Amino acid sequence: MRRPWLAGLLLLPLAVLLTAAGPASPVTALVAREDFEGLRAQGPKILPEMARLYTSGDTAERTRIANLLYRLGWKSPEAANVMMRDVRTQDVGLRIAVQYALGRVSDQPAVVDALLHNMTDDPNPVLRDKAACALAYDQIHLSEAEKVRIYEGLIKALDSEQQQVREIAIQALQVHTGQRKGFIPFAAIEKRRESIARWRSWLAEYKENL
Amino acid sequence: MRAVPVLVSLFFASALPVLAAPSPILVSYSWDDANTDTGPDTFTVFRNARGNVQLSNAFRASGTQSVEIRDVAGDGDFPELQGYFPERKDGWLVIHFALLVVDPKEELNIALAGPNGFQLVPDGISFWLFTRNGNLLQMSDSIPKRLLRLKPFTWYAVDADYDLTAGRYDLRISEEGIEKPVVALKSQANAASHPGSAVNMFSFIGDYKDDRSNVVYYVDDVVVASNREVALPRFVAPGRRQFLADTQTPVEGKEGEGDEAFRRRALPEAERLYKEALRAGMASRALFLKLSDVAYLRGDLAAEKALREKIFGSLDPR
Repeated sequence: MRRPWLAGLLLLPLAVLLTAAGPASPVTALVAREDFEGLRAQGPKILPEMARLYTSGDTAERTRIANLLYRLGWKSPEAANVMMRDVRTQDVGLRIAVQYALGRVSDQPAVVDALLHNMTDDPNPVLRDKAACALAYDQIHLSEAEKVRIYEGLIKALDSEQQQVREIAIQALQVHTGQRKGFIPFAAIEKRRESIARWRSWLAEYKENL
Repeated sequence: MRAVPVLVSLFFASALPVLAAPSPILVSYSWDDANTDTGPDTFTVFRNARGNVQLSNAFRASGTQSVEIRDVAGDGDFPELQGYFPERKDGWLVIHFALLVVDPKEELNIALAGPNGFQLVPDGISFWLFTRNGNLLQMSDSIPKRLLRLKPFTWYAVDADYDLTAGRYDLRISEEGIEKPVVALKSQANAASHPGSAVNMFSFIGDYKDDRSNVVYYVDDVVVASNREVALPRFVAPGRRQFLADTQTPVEGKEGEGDEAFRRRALPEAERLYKEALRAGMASRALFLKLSDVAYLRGDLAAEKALREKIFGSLDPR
């Protein structure tokens, strides 16, 4: 009785190899060609497959898929989960692609938290700046209530010791609200705190209206 | 809410304003043949994709016609009624219009903006009303603020006295049939709290972002003026609704007899005559509206709504 079982065990890797070597799925081919229109025509059902391809891809492949996910703008927990593993990668190209794409596939609070962390604490000022851009422009699935998390983080960042963090935080707030409420990143700390107090009052009123 | 006009509709030629001596009235459209519009500027209609903007006599706050704006979800664009007036960035602006929504759950947006277009920037959007989940909201100080729960098939008159220099406005909204304004707010910050923000255009659209709106709504009696004392169109509310049979030109046959009975408020007789006209195969749209007016006067709002929905049975995406 052991023989058939052993035979099955030996055949299993062969089956896996055959599957892997088989014809590429339409999604794989479309991703390889960066065929955005072709992917869009397939509809959101392709997202789990794109997430799987992301996981198995190298840095260049993951960057390509993140850029495609950004353009598709469809909500996908699978895609968000796999890209979150790279949200602090030190590969600049992949990091920027992931930071931009996350908000366009997800409304998860963890995404906002990760981007706020990158905006305030990343040692690379370029990546901090790009995280702020993502918070400003790409959180497309967030409701007004869910945006509170962004506003709280950005207003907190106005009090950063780093001038660049204060600059990108007020820029992101301005994109969202059209306002600066008198905040000048390089002003004296007393002046900055007066403006931060105005932003906190604004946030309290924003929450009251939810 | 586009910055650049594309198409001027000849369909609206009868409503185009005529050049006149300086007047406090910057914009005045009631879309009625008898109306003499004033103001130096004009408006643009975008009938993009499957949405539409057209004159309608199905509902009107005054006169005989209003404008129907109909959006279609998933068609890749939105219809728009966009109007222009001479740019202003100080003094006062009086804004008035009447609004009726078929299904308040569908999104619509109404805005007044300046040369920087429909964005929350200086000289961009100043005054912005929109619907969400059945509510009418205003954007004030960059905060979406709920104003009221909208009722379907109900006229609302919106009046704003806007201090451009201060960037603040008083807002009143009246509902037909209710004496007191249902919204009366003082000194509201404009959309993104920008004092002195210039304005030169207004816009009525469905949704601009997600393309999910199947809104159908009606706009009438649009007035933008620079003088707070200007005489605004009298709103049929508070107090009463304007009924189709009371304003329509005389018609013959059973429908005409029904109208005559309606004007006497002999409602059972009017209802019977309208139904006979329907059975005789006469045009049904006006008759359903008149029957809905009968139901309204009887206090049967469910029947009124059901009758109006016979006309708007095509609200599904087209």
